[in-house]
Amino acid sequence: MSYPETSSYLTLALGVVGTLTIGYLLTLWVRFQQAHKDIETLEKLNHD
Amino acid sequence: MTTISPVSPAPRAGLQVMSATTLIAVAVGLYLALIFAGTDIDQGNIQRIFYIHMPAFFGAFTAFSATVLGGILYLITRNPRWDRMAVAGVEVGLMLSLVNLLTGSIWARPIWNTWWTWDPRLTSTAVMVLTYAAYLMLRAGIEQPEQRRRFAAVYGILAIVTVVITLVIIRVRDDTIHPVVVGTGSTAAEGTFDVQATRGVTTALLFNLPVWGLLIPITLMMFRMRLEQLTEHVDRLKAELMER
Repeated sequence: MSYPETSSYLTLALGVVGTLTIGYLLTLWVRFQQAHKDIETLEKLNHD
Repeated sequence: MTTISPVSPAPRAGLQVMSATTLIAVAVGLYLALIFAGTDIDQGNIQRIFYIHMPAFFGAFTAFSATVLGGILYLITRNPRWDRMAVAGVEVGLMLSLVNLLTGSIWARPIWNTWWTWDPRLTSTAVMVLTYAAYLMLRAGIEQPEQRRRFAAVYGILAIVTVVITLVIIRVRDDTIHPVVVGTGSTAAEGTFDVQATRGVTTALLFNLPVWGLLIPITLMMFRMRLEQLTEHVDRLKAELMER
């Protein structure tokens, strides 16, 4: 039994899924880090 | 000086449990989709993307439904926590819609011999994606928090119309070539979905549906809601500093 050769399209599709999901997670992580940094700085300024 | 409730930097235990569960479930789901399920006789390996493509749409539906719920509850209670849920739903739903749209396009290239066609389902999905992208852009353009939340709540409730149209369009339009997988479409429709895999199709699909349809959107929304809470905290600290 032979199957049509469509593996390269599956690889491309999985790459897109990975890029979107991991990319979104990374964006969230960067925004978390920035928010924590901002809070730390602002709380320090508020105390001074 | 006004006392501001501290926001703990560490993720809550519930979020940690959800994250671990989701990661394990995604790994098992990928195993079932890429290794366990048999290869489709007609489509070859590209058919396996169907185990992510369709569940991702249901994930987007879950997230956009949360936006509607959040919008309604915000308009009733004016509690910002519901606005956080609404914006989290849009962001996560948009990401999952893009997963759905792009994987569909890649699948279409070898199967339909084109990356894109103005089929009713594809067009309605594109309109849905653009509608929610516009939500984020318009929301970011409103400075006053109360006005922003009220606008976003109404927009988020109305935007669900594009999701409902996308869901039902393949069942009412005869000129679609998009397959109807769940239920039956129009008898005159051109698209079919006759998966001829040797084994594991149902198992892989039934496992991945709740993973991409519930676990992933809910976990990501929990993270996004927490981020929104931190952002609000930053805004409060800034306002306090300006008052001094």
